[in-house]
Amino acid sequence: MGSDRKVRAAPGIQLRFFLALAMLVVLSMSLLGVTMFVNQRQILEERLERDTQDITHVLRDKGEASSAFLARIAPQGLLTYDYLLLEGYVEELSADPDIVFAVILNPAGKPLTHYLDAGDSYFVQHGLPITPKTYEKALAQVRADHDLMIVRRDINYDGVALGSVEVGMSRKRLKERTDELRTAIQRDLQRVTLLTVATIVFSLILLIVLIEWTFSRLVVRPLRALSAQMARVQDGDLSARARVLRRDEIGRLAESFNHMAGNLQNQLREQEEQRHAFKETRDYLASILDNSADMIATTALDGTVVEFNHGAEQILGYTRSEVTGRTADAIYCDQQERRRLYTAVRQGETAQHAETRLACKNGTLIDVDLTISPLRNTAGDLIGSVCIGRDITQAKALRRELIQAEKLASVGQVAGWIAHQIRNLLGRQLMDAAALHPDAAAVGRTHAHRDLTDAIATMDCLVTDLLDYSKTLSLHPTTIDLNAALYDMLRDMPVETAPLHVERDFATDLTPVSVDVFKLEQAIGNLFKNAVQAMPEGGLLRVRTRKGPGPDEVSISIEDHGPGIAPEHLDKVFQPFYTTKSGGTGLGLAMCARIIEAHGGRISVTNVVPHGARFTLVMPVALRLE
Amino acid sequence: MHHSPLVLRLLTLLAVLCALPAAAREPALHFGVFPRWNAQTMVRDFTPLARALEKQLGREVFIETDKDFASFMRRVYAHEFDLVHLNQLQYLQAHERAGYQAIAKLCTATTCTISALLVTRQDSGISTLAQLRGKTVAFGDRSAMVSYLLARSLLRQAGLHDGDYKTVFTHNPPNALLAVYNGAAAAAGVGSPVFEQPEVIKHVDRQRIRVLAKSMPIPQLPFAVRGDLDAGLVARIRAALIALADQPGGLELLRNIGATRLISAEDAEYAALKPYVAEDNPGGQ
Repeated sequence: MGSDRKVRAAPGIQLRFFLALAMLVVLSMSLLGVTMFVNQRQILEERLERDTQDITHVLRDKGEASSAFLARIAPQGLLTYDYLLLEGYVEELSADPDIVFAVILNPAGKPLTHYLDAGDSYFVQHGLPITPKTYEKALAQVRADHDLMIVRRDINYDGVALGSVEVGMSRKRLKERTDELRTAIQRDLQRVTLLTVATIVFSLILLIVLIEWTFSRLVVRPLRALSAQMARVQDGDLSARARVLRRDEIGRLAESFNHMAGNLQNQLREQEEQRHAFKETRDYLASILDNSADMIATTALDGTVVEFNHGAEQILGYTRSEVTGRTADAIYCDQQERRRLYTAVRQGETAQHAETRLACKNGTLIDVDLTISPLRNTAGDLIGSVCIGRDITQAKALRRELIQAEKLASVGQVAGWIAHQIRNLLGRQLMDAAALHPDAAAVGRTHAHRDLTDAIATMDCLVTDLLDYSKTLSLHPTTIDLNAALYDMLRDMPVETAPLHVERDFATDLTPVSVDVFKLEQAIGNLFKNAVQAMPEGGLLRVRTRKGPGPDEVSISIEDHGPGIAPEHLDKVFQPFYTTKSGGTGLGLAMCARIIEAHGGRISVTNVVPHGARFTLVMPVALRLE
Repeated sequence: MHHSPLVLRLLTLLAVLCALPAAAREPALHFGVFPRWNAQTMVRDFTPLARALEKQLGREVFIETDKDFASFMRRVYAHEFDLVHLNQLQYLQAHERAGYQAIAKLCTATTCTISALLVTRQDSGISTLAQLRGKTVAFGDRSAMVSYLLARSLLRQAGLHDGDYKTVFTHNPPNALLAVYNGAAAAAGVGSPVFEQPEVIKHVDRQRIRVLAKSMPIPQLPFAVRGDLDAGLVARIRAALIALADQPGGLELLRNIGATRLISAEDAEYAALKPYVAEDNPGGQ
């Protein structure tokens, strides 16, 4: 897309994937870790509760066992008054860290043993001094302590109640045990937590690294490789191709890239070839422009000069930079002519060989022959004009001189020819006059008279033709049906002795033409006459009319089947005073060509196969005066 | 006390094993100690003294005791012991029947004699011996010189004979005192050193005990040797015992046995006690 919208810079896809993945994995692992932690904590707390109960049971069992033991052995001491033995048992039991006190009581509840472990932490912490004097008070206090687990058991011997025993178990120790257990469990929990966290972190890192490595290997690296190849293409190396390692999305992307790069390379190669060809053409055209002696210039539709070649610079003296971008008004001497020419060009017409006069930079005026054509782009739209001009100042001068010389030569030639013709006729007339001398024989006078008359007629004809040719043609056009005019002319054509077959091939769609009827009949009659004279033994005369060859033109062809015209004479038959016939003035076809050209038409002659000559007249439908 | 023979033999063996590394050059000296307290206590208390004697005599000294006075005395009569420690009555019997000769006796810091006491609780309401009529009187052992024979003599002097009160024996004087202390007996016959006994000190509030009567003093507990023992050895034993108080740690080991020193003793000192014995045991049993 050709959007120029700014694209926000973003981190690389790998970084974004990494962050998203890390967040996801951290979240998942955190949830897992919290779940594991809570679960583990619940397990440990249940274990703590269970262990606490177990310890309580153990403590109670221990108290029960201790009291049972003391109650079982107490009769031995009580019945034998061996109180030291009982004191020893009590002292031994009191050495147990879980037992705060043990005492044997008589049936009235009076203590029969008197031992309390003064070093026991209970008495130390409660600040109870243990002496024989304070023993009973300390015992009363410790027996009333509800924090202790006191186990009581009666002493019976053969059914006689001898007293009872009491064993005080330290709940504090139980609490200490529980606290120790709790501490151990919390330590376990911390260790499990640490282990869990470490495992999660390790797994997290391992997982991220693994996924990142996989993503990098499967996505990022191929993309970077593809990007590198794209960069090479961007830098102009169209031979760059991406490696297609897998048939996955990136692989297909790489294939598409390769395909695109290949197409681009082919297109650029074709464009390069076209550019090279275009350059060659342009250079060729530029060479033509620069090496052409003719002026070549182009103008835009507004009349400003776009191109101005070296030939134009040489002829007009202006440099290209002085002219381009400006109108050429100052160069033209005849502004009206300039406007006429360019108006025609803007209408799509070509002005060929328009002679006009231009002003050089140094003020010199030169005659030029210009051909100005419309300039169109590849779509056919008019974009300006191209003007090709030639300095004909010198040629025109030479032509004038030549014309003058030709005129002079022609006058001399015509004068000489006329003098020759007149001398010949005068010689014949002189001989005829001598024959007409009264002294001459009568027979000879008749012949001389006839010959003299012919010579005088010939001279009259000669003078008439000269007068006709020398007169200025003044046309009086009228619109006629050409086919009808030709039909009449063929019908009125004088019949010769030899048989003549006339073939009329007239076009039915012929457009009426505007001509001077008498002048046209003079010209066409002259052509009919020549055709008849070319076939003294008779033959086929073919007259044909057609529409064309150009638009608004009609053509007439007159074809005989005589000997034809020698090829070396074909381009001279329309010159005045040129004839191959004895007695001809050489002005017939010249007059014929002059009449046709005066109508804006043209005349030509060709030989036909197997023999014969064909004169073709092309006439404009509307009279075009020269 | 009802310790099995097996236990006692094991204790003896333990004492032998403990003494074994100390001396092996001379024949061992068998030191019999009467079970004044229980056997463990006696072995414990006299073992340091035996170790000291080993050093002095250069021979092993085995501490031996027995479960009760009778058993012990049977072994005395059988001459199983080279050196014995016994009470005054037992000495008279041992001298008379087995020929043992007193060589030393215990002394405290102030005296080398001992008296019998008749004690009662302060709150017993008894202030004269006559009030003991019909009451229970505790004594340590029937064979106890001081805590029974001598104490009973006080009762007799007060006009109370055996049937006038209930007699109970508690194996040793501290138990007799504890019987009074615990209310099991109205009075008890004990020796005057009983209040110095660690067990008594530890368990009995002296202030709650009142002395009803005190006998005349008699010599303290004797150490005696077998009559056929080498005179030189006897002399060395006597010297060693007397010198204990001057030995390093001597006072400590003497305190363990309820004395501060030992002095020389003669058989004549104990001969004066024969009337007490004759009253109760005319046959010398």
